[in-house]
Amino acid sequence: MQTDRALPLHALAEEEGVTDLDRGMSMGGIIEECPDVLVSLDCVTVQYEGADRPALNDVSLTIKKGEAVLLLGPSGCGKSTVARLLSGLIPRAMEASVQGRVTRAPELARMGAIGYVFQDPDAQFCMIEQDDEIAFGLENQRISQADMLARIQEQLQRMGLPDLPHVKHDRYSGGMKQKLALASALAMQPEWLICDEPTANLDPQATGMVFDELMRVRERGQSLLLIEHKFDRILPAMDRVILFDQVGRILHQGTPGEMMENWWEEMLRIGVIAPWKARPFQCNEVRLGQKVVLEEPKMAELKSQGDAFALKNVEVTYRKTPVLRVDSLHIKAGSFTAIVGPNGAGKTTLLQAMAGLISHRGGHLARFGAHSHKAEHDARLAYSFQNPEYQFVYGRVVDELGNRVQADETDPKLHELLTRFGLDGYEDANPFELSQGQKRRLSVASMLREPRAAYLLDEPTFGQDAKTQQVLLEQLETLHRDGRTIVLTTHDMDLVRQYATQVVVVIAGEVVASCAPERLFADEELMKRAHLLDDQADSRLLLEVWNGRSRGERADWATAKNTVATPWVERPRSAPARSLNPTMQLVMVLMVMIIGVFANNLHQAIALFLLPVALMLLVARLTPWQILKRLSPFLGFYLLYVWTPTAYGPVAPHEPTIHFLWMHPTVAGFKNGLVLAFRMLSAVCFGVLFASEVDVTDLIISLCQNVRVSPRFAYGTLAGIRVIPLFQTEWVKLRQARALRGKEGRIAVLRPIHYALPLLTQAIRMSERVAIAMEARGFYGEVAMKATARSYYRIIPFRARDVLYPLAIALLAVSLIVIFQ
Amino acid sequence: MWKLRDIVVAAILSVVCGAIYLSWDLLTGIFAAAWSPIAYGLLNGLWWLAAGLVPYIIRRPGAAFFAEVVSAFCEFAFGSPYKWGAVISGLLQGAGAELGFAMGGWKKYNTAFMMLSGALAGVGNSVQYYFQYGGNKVAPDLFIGYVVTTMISGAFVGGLVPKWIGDALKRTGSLRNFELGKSGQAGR
Repeated sequence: MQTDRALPLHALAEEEGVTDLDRGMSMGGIIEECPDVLVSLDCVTVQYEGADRPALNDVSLTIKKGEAVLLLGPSGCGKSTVARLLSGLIPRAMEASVQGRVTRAPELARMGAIGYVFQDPDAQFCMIEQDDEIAFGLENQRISQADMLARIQEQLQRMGLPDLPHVKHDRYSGGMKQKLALASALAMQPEWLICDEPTANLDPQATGMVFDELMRVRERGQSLLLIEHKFDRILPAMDRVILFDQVGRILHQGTPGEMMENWWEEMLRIGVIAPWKARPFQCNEVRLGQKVVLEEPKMAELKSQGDAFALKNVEVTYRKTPVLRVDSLHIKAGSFTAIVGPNGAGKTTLLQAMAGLISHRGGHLARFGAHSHKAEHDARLAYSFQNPEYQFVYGRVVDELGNRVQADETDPKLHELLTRFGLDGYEDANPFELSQGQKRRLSVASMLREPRAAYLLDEPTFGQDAKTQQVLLEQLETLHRDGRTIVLTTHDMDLVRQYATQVVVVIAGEVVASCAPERLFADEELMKRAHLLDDQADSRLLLEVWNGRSRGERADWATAKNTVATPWVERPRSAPARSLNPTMQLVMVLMVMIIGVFANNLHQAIALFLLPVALMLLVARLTPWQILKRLSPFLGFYLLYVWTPTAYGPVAPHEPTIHFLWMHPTVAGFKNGLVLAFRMLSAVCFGVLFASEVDVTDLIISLCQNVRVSPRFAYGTLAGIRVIPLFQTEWVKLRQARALRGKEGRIAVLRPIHYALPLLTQAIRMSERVAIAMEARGFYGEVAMKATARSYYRIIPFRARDVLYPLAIALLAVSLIVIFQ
Repeated sequence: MWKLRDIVVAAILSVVCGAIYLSWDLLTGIFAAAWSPIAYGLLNGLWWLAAGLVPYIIRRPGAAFFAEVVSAFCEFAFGSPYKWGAVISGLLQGAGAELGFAMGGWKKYNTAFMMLSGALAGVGNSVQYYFQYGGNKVAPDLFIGYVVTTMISGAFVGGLVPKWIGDALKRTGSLRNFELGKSGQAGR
């Protein structure tokens, strides 16, 4: 009943024609007469706000119940738009004008009837722990807490995820994150599952894991809409393939077999697939591409150069934990070397160590015969980061390419580069404004501006459409033919097969093999270990949980699994103080802080400082040593607070003072300073107390449940806070990228805005994706606006003692002030 | 009317600002010990960056207050030496900045209103300085000087700098779906 009203499309059914969705109008219909039709589009055109051409052009299609449909097309062809439109995200969460008729089966009007899995594993979660994550969608459906528990456990078990509460999913690998996203969608028991490039960010094995799950979902008869570039493996499970062209029209549709047989060349032509891809249904034979064979004199010249990179006993550590070990590795000058291995194995670390971006401990690292021990910029090398934005320093494409602000006349050499990379006409554009493909091409074009001996690229084809991949690889092959050394990291085994002359395998922080690609492909055992085959997912799952993490955590995991056997009955809480209502603890702290302002003599201030110390000892059960340790970092600040009133206090007529520069310290001022310092210490102690007792998720949900803060603000803020750890890693990458720009990069530090832009744009893009993902899980309408309209997985108690305890502490603080008057 | 993405972007930007505040806490704490309160006031504006940046981008009633409180809470959570003092600063500075935008009916986000809000946030900061951080214990002329320099710093660092960052972000095209990105392209 209530769910029926939640979907505006239902309420406004049976309208037809052009509608302006910005005015909150919508159209759509319920198909009553054809019971087997799930959704249909009739001559639909969609144009996003501010876009100069439609994303979807006069599209008509019908999808039946129980059908599995694969959407294919070049990037920007409107595949995602179809999914967003059919699911109702357009226009509910994304502004666009829609013409034509959208119809949906009545059962899709139920809240959560459509499950959605997005591409970016990090930008579709909004909670910190995995059980809360699955529960979020169920809360939007107003499922009771008991049912939630059952469904969460069922999904975790089915997906082979650790069946434990309180597991933070930011430690998961990409593959496991996508499984969790799938679990969150399936827990809502959707009528229809939509997956928009769920494996785009994953290595082959993790991709296999996700596909395995999708196959299982299919076996249960789930209706499925899939958008996917790496479709080979999933193709047999699909009923129909719909191919789109570049301008958002349907080119052709048919069975998978028919499409692969008759439309493969067309798909190559319009850039749906990269030319080195093996065609599905006939990819069993190992196809080795025609590799570049260098001419004799060139070969001899390169031979004399020896190794481009030689590493012996090199170790890289991160915060004292070893992350990469290389016993012996030689990369020949003039080779095309691919570094492969599982996600998080240390491929990028190896590439960065070779480039001198990070320093290594011990051993020898030689570039073209010259030894180096520390991180240093080597002018013979060019390096390209996975996220090209990090390298951008200038506000115009042409300046970026020339690495300095260009005069009006464009250097013909730069112009030639722009044309070669299909960037002509974009000279004056802001690099950030370009599409993902254009950004990548620009970053590679700037690598090629000056000839270098070696080019190092971190996942150059990552997230790129087939067209861009092709341009890049052609350029790299030209360089290779010219005798330059190319080293890149990649997950694309077809690319390795086609281009690489040498392949380096990195597994769990160790270089385990360096050989010709043919040898790697022949060694099935090694292929499996390196996650390069996708057919053995679940057995290695638990290992993958801590893939690349410290051993300590792994040990914790083992003990946790043994000791926490039945934690599901009720959410357990650790310290006794944790059972106090977090909002009331917040209120308490604020009250005491205000009372603290009235502490004007030393006794009062010391008493107010001892109060939270006593609470830390008695309620939070911290040891004196722990307390001391947590207070110590702020020592300098207490001194500062003593000093300021001492030096700047008003000087009474006969008060002794020394005039020193502009300061005039007095004894009275010193006493005031001490009072201030103890007040500060009191605030710090309450901070430590609060931090040790309150869980941020509990606090936010308590604000919702107990104070009736709108869920949109509460959960939206939590989703924003969740991304903190991501920023830390982004920040490190950005700093490296800027260091690489050498002098220009350092000058850019003086222009902080250029330094901050990549991080901020990343933050903004991410928040948009997170918000859409939250709405896709049913977080809209009443359940998002009214705290009382949703059900809750975490029930935050609000009892008499939650009020009495803060009141008692506040009263105590007041009486301390009065007693020591 | 706030959209969900306005809330999430406000939260994420506030987290970033919270980290900036924390580094500013540590930097200024080390260097500013010997400074007179008047000079110290000039450093203050950076602590309400979020209260200018977020409303400038999303342009919703309450954005300045929300962003400043969330960023101050993050500053606290990241381990600010001011601990709860930081959160109280957030409440007062956020209220000050919000008052400025409210005067424009939450419709005016030009240079003048950005500077006004930044300066009013400085008044909020001064209230806390007076009651909590010993402003009532320094010589009165020093306190007045502190208020003046804090408001000036607020107008420039807490008002103009966020505007400048916002405009730079707008040029990258990443704000198309937010009010700032939509403003000025309405006629197109």
